Amino acid sequence: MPANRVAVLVLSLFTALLLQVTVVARLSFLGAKPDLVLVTVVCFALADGPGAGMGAGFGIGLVEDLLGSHTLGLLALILCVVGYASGVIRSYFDRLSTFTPMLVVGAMTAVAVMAYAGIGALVGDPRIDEDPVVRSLLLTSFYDVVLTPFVFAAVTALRGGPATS
Amino acid sequence: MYRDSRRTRVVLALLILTSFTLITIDYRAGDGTALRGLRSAAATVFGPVQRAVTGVVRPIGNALATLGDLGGLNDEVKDLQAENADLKNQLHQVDDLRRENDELRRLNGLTTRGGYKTVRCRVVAVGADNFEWTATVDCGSRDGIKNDQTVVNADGLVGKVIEVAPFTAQVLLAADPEFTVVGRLAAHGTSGPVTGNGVKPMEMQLLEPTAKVTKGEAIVSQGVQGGIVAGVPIGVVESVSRERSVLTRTVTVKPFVRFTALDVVAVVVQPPRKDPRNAVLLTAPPSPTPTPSPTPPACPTATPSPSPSPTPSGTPCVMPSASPSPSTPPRTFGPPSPSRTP
Repeated sequence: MPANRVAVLVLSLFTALLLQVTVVARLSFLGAKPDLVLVTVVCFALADGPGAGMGAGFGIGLVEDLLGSHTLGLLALILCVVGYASGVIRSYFDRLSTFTPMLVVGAMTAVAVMAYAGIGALVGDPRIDEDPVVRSLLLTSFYDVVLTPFVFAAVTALRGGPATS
Repeated sequence: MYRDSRRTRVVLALLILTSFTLITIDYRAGDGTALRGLRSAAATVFGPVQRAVTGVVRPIGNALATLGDLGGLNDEVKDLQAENADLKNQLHQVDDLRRENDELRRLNGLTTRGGYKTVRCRVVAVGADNFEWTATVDCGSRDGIKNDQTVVNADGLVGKVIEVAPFTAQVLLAADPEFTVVGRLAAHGTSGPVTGNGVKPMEMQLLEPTAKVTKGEAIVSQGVQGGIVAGVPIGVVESVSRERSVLTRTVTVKPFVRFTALDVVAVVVQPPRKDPRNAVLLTAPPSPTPTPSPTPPACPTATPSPSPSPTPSGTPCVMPSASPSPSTPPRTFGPPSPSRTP
């Protein structure tokens, strides 16, 4: 990937994280928040492929881990895998319709929530309880799907037109 | 470009391995020193940025909410709308300032009643995911904030400081399942640990299972060395479990603080010299209507003696110090007002 694209990717991810912790995370409807960082990682993976997706996911996941109070490395792992998987899914499509990114984001959010809960339960995190897991599984996935068209449009515009495989 | 090349897979494997290593190290070390340093470095870098972004985002949010759609209208209408929006924006700002002023006054009242020495802060960021209940505030070690210090707002207990950077500090909110505080039923002195429960109400384990607990009773923190300072209002009893185990009884507690709408908070940098007991509670519980009650009137006759007669309920006033000896339960607290029941 050329250097200017890497710069765009890094800046976009940091912007997404900052918006997440200062604005988006405050919009907690019915006890669940949208996850702008995950949506951004998936959108970049869909635009730039598995390599960019996993790098972006790992990097921004690690920063989010450092800023949070949960186990270090947890989001780095999850977002890395999510970014890679989204990139691989992209390779099966010639052209992306409007709904493909939404579907991928919905599925990836569900995977991320379950992975977070699963690994959290393994390391004995008392926060992992049935209620928040079910809530975020349903609601966060929904919010993320709603966010996707906007983020994907922004990502496509930022990197200069849709990619061709 | 979209090819899943061999090199990509090798890098993926390496990144996954790194993540697992980090998770393992963090799990093993607990609050290990090396990772803690990394975290506070990240907070040092990000803290000022978060503060700046929050400062910028507040006015923009207001403007966006009021401006609306201006497209396709003639100049005059545009001008008028802009002016209107500007005025509305000003009105919003006045409303916001009024609310903030009210919040500050009530916060000031609470810290004065408790005798807490505090540093006032604003929440600049909140935890990013659905599981952790944390908030970042805009004061840090430069302002004298240290780990484990109690955080309150005008309504009561907010949480405790878990991570300090030079300009910001991270607060573990009382709603977080990892948060525990020793609470005491204000009316009869029975105590027990109160634990956060996410979006659900908090839970209290009564150490005296035979105690009679009624709905709507207030719970304040019991001062513990190195923990939450004494006398901070936590919440009211919402329900009492039917089953009585041999050792404890579970009581659900509705917290006074709304954890999803935090703005101005205060960090207690120095605990009170005297346990305020129930003195902090004595003003009316937080009401949604903005009725500022800066300082409660002093009691007509200061009776510091252990008089058995309770002060007439409904007239909140500050007692100089509640109970003289810790063995006698505080009788100075009247029955909770019915408005406190949820």
